Amino acid sequence: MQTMPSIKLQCSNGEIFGVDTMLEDLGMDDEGDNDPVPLPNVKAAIFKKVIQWCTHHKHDPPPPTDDENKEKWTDDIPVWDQEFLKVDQGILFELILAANYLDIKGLLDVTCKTVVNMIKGKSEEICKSFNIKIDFTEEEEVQVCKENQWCEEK
Amino acid sequence: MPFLGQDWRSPGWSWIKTEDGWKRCESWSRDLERENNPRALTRSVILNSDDEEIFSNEEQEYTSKKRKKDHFRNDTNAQCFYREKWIYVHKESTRERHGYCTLGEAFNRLDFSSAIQDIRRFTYVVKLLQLIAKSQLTSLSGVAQKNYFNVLDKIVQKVLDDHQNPRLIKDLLQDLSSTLCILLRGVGKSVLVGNINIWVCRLETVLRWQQQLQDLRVTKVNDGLTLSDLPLHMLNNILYRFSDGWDIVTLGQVTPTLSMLSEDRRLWKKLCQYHFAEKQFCRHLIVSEKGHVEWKLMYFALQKHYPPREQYGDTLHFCRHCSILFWKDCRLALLFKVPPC
Repeated sequence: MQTMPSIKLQCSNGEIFGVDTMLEDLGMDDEGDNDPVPLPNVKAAIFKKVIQWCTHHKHDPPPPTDDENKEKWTDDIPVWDQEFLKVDQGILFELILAANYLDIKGLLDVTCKTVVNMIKGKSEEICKSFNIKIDFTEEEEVQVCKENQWCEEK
Repeated sequence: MPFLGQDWRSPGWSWIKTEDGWKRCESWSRDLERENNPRALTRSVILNSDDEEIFSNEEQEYTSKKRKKDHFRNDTNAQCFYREKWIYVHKESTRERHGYCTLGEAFNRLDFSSAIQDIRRFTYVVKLLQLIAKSQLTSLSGVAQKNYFNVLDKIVQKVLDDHQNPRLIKDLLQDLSSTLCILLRGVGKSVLVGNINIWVCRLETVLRWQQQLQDLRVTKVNDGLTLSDLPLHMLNNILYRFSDGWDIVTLGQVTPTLSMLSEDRRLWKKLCQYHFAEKQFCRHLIVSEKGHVEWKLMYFALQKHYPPREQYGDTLHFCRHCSILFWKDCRLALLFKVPPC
């Protein structure tokens, strides 16, 4: 196994990180291209967390191919990840975007599962939990509620 | 405390009172290094042995008070309790082995109190309590009842704290309160174990919990990105992970984008396929005028007739060979030095 070269990555605010390539190959050749790879969509603080997660999981076996049944399984978040993701919601969503942009499937999975767990089982509280402005006008809201009322019929 | 030891020649063990009853305790302070932080811990290991008879399980104020004081004082002498999370299930006692296995014991030994803090076990424990609430309340011994309500109290406090999945608990409390009402009004003293006034108190507690959950209000704390800032395919990714149609419907009532995404036919088709079998579809097939299958309608129709699929991160397993009930991730192979059954 060859030793992995260090690659420099530059975040949106100009901070430069040197990492071993435990992330998937960036499609770079070995010919000593020393300019840092720009990551305009990722802030430094978020990137630090991403690196932290990747470092912890660097020896994980590759994830199995998409199992249909596992798609709905949100209970299997490892304890370390549960603690790692006890952060502000804003940061959680930024992590989702970063994981998506950097194509880190494992991180994307656990962050989405965490969001699902936060939403599960709630009703009106959802909007307040997630600081979402209700985008419906009053009539639209009534309409949507009516359309879904039949779900409640026993 | 009466003498308890392996046989009459040994010096006996030390015991400690806990919320869940008397537990045997051994001191490991010599062997474990102290941590380099202000809370230097003296660790004790509480062991549970399967051939022990646990005598008195009276509710002890002592340890809980001590813990509260310790907590406030930023304590230096907290004790960690390590439990082996399994229980031996046997039908009768012999002369050599005298013990008993009841639901109350199982609550302790399988450590449901800390299981609920683990997201992989939380739903499973809640469902278990719900099953007990529906049909087994009258068969619980006094100790089991106490433990049951202790665990339930912890669950309610946890949900009030972190707001995770309140619907699950509301359903459980609903089942529990209806069963309690029926038992108290219909059946009364002759069937219920324990003084009927205790049961009345418990019903009042359950109603109070229901009220607290009803009044649960989430305060806005988020100044950063919100759910609606995620791109469409991310929102879709999240929607596809829900296993309860209710959550999808609720989320669809929040913004027009989510409403549109939540009406996706493929989403509901996947949900139906996850929970129900093809044969069941055929019996309740709903087709629109244009000839498409109305998966969302079918989901709710099927749900009325068939139980949904249940999937848990960690469950209890029973080994028939050893007659042991244990949590799936408990490393029993090491314990008995045999391959797991």
